[in-house]
Amino acid sequence: MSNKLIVLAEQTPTHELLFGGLFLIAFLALSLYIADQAKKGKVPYIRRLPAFDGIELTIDRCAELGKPVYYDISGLPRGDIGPMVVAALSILSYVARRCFKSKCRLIVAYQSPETSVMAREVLNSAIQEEGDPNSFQDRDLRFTDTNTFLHAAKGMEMVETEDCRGNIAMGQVFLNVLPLSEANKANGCVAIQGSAYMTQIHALGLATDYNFIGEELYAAAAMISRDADTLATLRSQDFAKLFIVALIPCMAIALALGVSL
Amino acid sequence: MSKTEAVSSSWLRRSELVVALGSVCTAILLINYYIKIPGITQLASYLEEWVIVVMDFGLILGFASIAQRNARNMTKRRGEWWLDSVALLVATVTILSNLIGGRNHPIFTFINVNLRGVGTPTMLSMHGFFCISAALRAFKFKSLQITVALGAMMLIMLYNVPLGEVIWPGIAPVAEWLIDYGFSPGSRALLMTTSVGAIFLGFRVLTGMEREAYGIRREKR
Repeated sequence: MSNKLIVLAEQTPTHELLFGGLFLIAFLALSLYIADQAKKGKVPYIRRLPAFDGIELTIDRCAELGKPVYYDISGLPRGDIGPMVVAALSILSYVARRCFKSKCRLIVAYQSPETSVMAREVLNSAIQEEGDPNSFQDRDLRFTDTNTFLHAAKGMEMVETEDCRGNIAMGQVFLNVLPLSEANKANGCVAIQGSAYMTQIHALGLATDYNFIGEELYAAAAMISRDADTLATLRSQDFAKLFIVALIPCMAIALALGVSL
Repeated sequence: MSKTEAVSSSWLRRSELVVALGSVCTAILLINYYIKIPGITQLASYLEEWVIVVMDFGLILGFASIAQRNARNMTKRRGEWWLDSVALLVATVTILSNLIGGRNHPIFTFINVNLRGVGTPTMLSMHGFFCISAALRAFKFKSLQITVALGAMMLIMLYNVPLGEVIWPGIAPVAEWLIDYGFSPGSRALLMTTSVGAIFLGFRVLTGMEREAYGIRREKR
């Protein structure tokens, strides 16, 4: 991984590196400015994602039925997938707090051994905050397999044998979308999935009840805390996207005029 | 002072330390990507090597976690405890044979070829049936959007098999147009926004805003 990053930096032309660096600094500075404004009371409005309502409905439904919620952290926290796993852990903290508050059993499965410690910390924190010490059993935090298909098979098995009514899968959800949706259908589960991984993202959109697609996964992770400074980064993120959108026609015109870029 | 308070006041357990570690590591790697300073480059190189070491410790922890759970199920005869005992036995034998004789140890090779090598494609082919069934349910004419997606999917599918060209010779230009002007811009737009999202997630880690993923509680909520 180390060499990959160094080689990438060495292969990138200097003007591209410079543009990337300036883009980063400009929008990080903007984030800090918006965060400062938010602390003074100008908190930016961020639209609530519908999948949050889905998560709340699912947990409430499971609590009423006395059935567990299955939470799947897909992906190995390495390289490009790392941010997705971090976002999945952030969303886990929200789901865990809601579950423990509603006295609903939560089963957490993770694909990578490295995720184990972080997931445990997130759950311990949620227990201290919302639940009683007996609200989560150690046996409900389960390692499956690094192989995606075996991970999906284990997920299907857990949904079936534990009689779950809610299936929340976050992270690098791709090859396990359809197998999990089959288990959801068989068991009457509400399916909520989120992924920023391009492969199978169309299936994720079609086979789930609620979803976080692409950047929504990262935005959802930031929206959980509802802090002014975190929301400020989301607003800054929107400005960054607007800048990119504005840049596309400008570049197209420049190219059409024969400007070498 | 209670035992819990004593543990939480330990400097090793302080949330600031976790956030600071994350921030410093991210900052070093980020600076090294843009500017080559000999000291920072060396440090970044060490950090990236440590990632591999930490990941290996993660593997050990993962095995310890699964062994603990399986052993508990076996002693209490809970659930499918006999399957847990087989899994634990196979895992232990695999690790021991690899430690003793390396990757060429006959027992390790046997397990890899005859258990894992056979089991993985079996699971893969089983999933094929689940995928077909799930796809059939997902791809129904439920709304206009799904109908459009279904139409595009059918076209691309037919384009990728020889039968498509036989049914309608004009399928190739239509499918290629869809790939070039429909799929590519859409996926690039999604990729760009996702990348921006990942950059800002990195920024939140760098500045210590991203605390939920580390299990760090905020004082005010």
